[in-house]
Amino acid sequence: MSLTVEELRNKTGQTLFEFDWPVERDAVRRFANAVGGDTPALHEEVPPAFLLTAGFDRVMTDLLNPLRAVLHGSTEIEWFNPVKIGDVLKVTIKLVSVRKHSPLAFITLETEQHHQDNVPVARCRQIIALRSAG
Amino acid sequence: MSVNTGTLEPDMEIPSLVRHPDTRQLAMWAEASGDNNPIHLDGEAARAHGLPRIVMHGQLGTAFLCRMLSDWYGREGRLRKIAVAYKGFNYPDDTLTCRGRVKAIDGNFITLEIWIENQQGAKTTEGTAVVEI
Repeated sequence: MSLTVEELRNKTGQTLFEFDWPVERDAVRRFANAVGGDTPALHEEVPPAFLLTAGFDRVMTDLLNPLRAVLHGSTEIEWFNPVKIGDVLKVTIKLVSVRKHSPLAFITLETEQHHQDNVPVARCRQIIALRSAG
Repeated sequence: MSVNTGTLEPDMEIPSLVRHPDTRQLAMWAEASGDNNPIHLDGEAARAHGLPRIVMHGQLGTAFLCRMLSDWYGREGRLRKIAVAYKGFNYPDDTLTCRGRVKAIDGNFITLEIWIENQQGAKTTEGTAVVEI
């Protein structure tokens, strides 16, 4: 996906990414080590902030890097049900809005995560600033 | 740690968490989170965006705040919601103090103001959290 901000705006309300996301022990361990400090014992239940990472690598590669993303403006996340190592989550990432504020543009992404039986896990909204306003 | 909701009062601060993120930690976070934006990893790329140097990922700060909260509520609590705005930049080797203050108590649900302040006392990240005990 290589879009201009204007082309992206036409996708407002659409789901940009949809995929299954296996919650792997190694990934949770890397996350805990990156947060640092005395790494707590890895319990089967994953740390809540781990869910912020759901699919973000593909969002960066396919969307934000080509659009010259600058920075996160805000993050909001609600947790509904716990996640354990070994779960496979269904993740959808939707484009909620695109606002231009020259020379920047701000996009709002909403990520929803469910268990395979459709039990909701978390909903996250992020506002991200883009440099390109074209 | 476990929290006794009966002893909580508005304006009470919870134990803070201090972090000194360095460039290595930012690289680890980039790998763990998938946020490989070069402004967090490469000084030249950061300067090309008009930044003085590498800046810390905002989401890493959010993870620090979540860690402060989970250290406080322990295994008997659960984080229900967090909403933060990134107000200022954090840089490698800053001393970042994550802090939280009880705002309201409604049964088992505690609403807290949470923030990160740097070594100059500037609040670089601010928001609220809801924890269920």
